[in-house]
Amino acid sequence: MTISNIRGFNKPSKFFYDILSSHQSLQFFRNTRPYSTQHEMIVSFYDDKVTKYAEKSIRPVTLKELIRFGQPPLSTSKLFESANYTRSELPVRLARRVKALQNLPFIVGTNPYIKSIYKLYFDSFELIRSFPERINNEETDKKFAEMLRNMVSSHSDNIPTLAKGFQECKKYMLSEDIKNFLDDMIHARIGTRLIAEQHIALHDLNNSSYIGIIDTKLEPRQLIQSCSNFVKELCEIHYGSTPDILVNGQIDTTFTYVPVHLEYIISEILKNSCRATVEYTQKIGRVEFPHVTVTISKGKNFIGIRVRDQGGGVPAKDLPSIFDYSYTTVPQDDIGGGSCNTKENIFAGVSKMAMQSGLGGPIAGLGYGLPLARIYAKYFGGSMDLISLHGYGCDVFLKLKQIDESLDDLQI
Amino acid sequence: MVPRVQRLNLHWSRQVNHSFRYKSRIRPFPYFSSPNSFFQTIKSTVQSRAYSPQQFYKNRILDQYVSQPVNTITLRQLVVFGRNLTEDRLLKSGNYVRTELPIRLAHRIRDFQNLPFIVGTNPHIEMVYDLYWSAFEKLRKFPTITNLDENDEYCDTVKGLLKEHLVVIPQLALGISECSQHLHPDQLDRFMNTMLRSRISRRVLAEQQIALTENWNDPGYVYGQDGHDGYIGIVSTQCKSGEIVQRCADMTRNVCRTIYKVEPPQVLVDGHVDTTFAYIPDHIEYMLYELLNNSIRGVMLKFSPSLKHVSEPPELLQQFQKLERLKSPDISKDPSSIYPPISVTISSGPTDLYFRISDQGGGISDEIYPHIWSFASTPTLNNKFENFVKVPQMAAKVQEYEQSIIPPTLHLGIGLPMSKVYAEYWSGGLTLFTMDGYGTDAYVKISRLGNREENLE
Repeated sequence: MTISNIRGFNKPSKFFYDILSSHQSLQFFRNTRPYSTQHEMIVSFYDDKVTKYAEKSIRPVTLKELIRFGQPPLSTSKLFESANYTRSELPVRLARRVKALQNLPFIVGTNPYIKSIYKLYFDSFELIRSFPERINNEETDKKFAEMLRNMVSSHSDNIPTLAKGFQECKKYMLSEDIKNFLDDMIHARIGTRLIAEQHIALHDLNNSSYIGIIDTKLEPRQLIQSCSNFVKELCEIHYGSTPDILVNGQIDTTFTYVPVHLEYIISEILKNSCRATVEYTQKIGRVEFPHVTVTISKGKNFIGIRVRDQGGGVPAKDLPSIFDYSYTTVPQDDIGGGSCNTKENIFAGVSKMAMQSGLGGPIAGLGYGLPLARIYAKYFGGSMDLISLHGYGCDVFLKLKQIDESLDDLQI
Repeated sequence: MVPRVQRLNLHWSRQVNHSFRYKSRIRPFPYFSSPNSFFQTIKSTVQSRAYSPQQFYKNRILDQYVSQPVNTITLRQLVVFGRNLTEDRLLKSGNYVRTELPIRLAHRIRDFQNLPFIVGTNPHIEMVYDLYWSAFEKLRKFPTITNLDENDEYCDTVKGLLKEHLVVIPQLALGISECSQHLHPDQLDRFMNTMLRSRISRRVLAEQQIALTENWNDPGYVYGQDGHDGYIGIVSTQCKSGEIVQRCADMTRNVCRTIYKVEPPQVLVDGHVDTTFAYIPDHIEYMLYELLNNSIRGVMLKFSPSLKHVSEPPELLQQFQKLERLKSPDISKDPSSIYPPISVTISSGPTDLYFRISDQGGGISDEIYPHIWSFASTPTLNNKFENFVKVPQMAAKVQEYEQSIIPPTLHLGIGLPMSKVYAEYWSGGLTLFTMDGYGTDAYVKISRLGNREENLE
């Protein structure tokens, strides 16, 4: 990996992250550092590369331009144009993220999870910054794409890590500040990933309906079906049984959207619905699991997806907090002053495994599902609303805008 | 009671349609036989014109009442008070109503006075303003009620006023509709919502007192929970969730079947259908009726667009229907299931009761959706309440539709905002979500415990 060539950081950041995943290894981690904490801090404090880059203005790309890069027929000049744009834009955005992390309170910054994210962003920033500035041949472009690919995959678990970190730091920061920080972070992350993945996808042109990572012929029914299968499996692992998920409405709808975004949103909502259905059924002693119903609609400007469950609903007093970060109804392990201890049983290990599998991670517990899903939904001008019928179930209304000319001026 | 006055040529009533169908029907409500006789009565009972100099100086009296706060009550208080009625209690409640009504009226009159002057000169607005002033004068001069006879007299006065004020909703609607350009939509909505909420509250107090008095005077009436289906005045302690929905559904389906001559879609009720709760049946029935009506009509008009022209001459209707049959989709031949059903789900939580009405009527388009709760005219819908010229009186009760006092094919445009006012009156709520192209979901939330104060904001 090219990262090992960068001065000062001898180990790949992924290694750091793996080690951080379990508590007992923290001690080990501290002792295996090739340089002292003191030394590293001095290096970072006087290194003003980050500040210089962060002060450069972001040149937002409009959705139109981004799509234009990837519109067939793809020529090498367009490819290089895209590569150069990405090469110049990403360091600025990454630097801003690093700066935001640097501005967190010191105690929060020393939390191992937060720290690992900080290092990750710093490393990525350094990596791109030190890549040759002009990309004008295939060789360089290939290397650049390879580097981007690795970077994107190394950043894929940022959200769960951040979530765990902030859960532990809840008492050191105002929830208002945490919320603002996370909103900015996630919003920026979506944009950065969009730019990076768009460019990477230009090298994998196998699907004619795709423009980068935007699918012009996305079938929600198919996507919901695959998400349902994933969530149902997760539910079986966690609870032993799972409710059925039915899809109805205007099932032949197709529209233009980013599949990963929709996948994420739907998975989170379905996870909530399934979990609620199972737990409520057990609570009231119901015999069968009622279905979770997903209805698709196609309107003039929006695609509508409604997820309806009979999971008992959300009590009125909790309704204002469901979109807060770290609000969860899962009993927490005693990490940073939590409440009750969950009983260890033979399935705990399996469910912990489920926690690391797939897209979002656990079926529940981080408290990030709903707020995140809403940010994704709003990104391209959509919306997400939740109605609770306390004592019966919940309805979630998702409205997504087609990615078309009307979004031409949307700045990423 | 109605003095004879010369027939006046009132210019703004020119548009009124004189061929009222309801003339020949049974009318349980004390409706006037024709609009003109009614307007004459009003004009004659009005003391002075709204913008005369005397009125300005008389306003000092209003200040006294406006400065007094409103004493709100809860549904539970109404029930408990009326449950074990004694003469003393009846007089006490009479005096409460006697003092409350002028205060609430005064607050609303002040709202009128705060409207822009140009709005106040609109004849419809002016009429309601005059009505309110004369009612205020009448009510505030009433002395303390000390015995049952005085209570009866008071109830008669109030009954007369209720009857007179049946024109308020149509007149306000017409006036507001004409004044849309002079008021900011938010201001307009706030004004109308406050007016309607206060109106409901005054009518609840008045009708409750009248009902209690009538029951007291009725020798055969038995109090307590066992008597008369659990009614205490106008409140029913035995409202059954499933039954109410079924009743409203049957009512609206009958109306639709009669007009459109096609079997309307089924209404399937599920969830907690056996919940018993205390509420004012008029309110809940109005809300459910309006929402079910919207849903059923929506579904029928989506799948059979020719029904939109039902009020037109029969030949034209047949033409439309013929065209439709040529391009109609493949639907089952079973007449009862030609339309997708409406599904009503009842959910009973510890503190609230929810009714969810789900239809597949094609949804509400994005241009209309932001304005469904608004009383203001929108860019696309210029004269929102123009049909009110055909409806001189409105009590906002389901019986008016049931007995076709208000022509059922008329789209009044006030169903949704009025239902919202009813829902929010006892601190409940009404929300609507739509899936453009598929259907709409309406959520009615009402408080189960009856311990919420009246919401008059």
